[in-house]
Amino acid sequence: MKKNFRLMLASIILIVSVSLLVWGYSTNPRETRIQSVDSSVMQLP
Amino acid sequence: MNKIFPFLLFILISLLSACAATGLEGGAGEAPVRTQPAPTEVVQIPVENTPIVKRPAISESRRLTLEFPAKMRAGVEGDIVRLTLEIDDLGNITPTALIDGNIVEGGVIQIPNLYETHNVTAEAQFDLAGMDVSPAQPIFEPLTAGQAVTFYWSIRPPDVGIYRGTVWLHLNFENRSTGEKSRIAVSAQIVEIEAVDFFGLSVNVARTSGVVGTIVGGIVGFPFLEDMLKFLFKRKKKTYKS
Repeated sequence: MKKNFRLMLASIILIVSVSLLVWGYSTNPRETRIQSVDSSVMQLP
Repeated sequence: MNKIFPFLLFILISLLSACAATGLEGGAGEAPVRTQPAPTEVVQIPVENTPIVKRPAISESRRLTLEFPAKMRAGVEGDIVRLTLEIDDLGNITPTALIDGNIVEGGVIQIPNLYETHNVTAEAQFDLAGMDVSPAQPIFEPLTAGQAVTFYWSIRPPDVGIYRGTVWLHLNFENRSTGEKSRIAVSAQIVEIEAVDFFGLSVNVARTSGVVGTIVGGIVGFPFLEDMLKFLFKRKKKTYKS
């Protein structure tokens, strides 16, 4: 009984801790936008 | 009858005179001769050269790529925003249209090349209210033919929230002979970056808690690990006492 409680507590602590670590060290999701610039745009005003 | 005769005689004389005048020799039984058309005199009509004013332009298509973090952690952590103006893979000045699946390609347009007459400088600026952006001032990079230019900004959100801003790209032209300057806006892209935390915990707190929690959880959950640590500590104490 005591062992089961201990295992459950450890599992909760580990899940929360690993979640914190994953969130803390994961890379930020990046967004890339590609826009075509025609040569007619790049001319003298 | 007397009235018709002079009329017929007049027609006959007219026809004969007409044949003589045009030089036609039409004898009976002779094959008709195809005559060459008389050479016409070529008259040169003076045409005024109306100058078609084509503004000088950069004779290459380019691709603008903006890369930024859509979501990032608030607090001490920073990230990079990158803006690249590079040559398009299909960069040419041949206008191409796609109509009903058929590619219609036009001729090459001859536009005076701006690189030959002007100094071209790309100017980029990132305006993002509330967020620390470095550098905050506009960045200038010389733009040369066939070369890409890249701009970098370092950003750091101090607090949780949604930050909206604009990435500007201008081109500055300076005439090499006259020194005349002009400026055009090429692109203005609106950017939205969300700064988040972990249920109210900052990045540092979350990372530290994660490391400590993993160790504690490991010790509590795996009895053999606890025994192993106890064994190691006892051994160290024994060696220290002796």
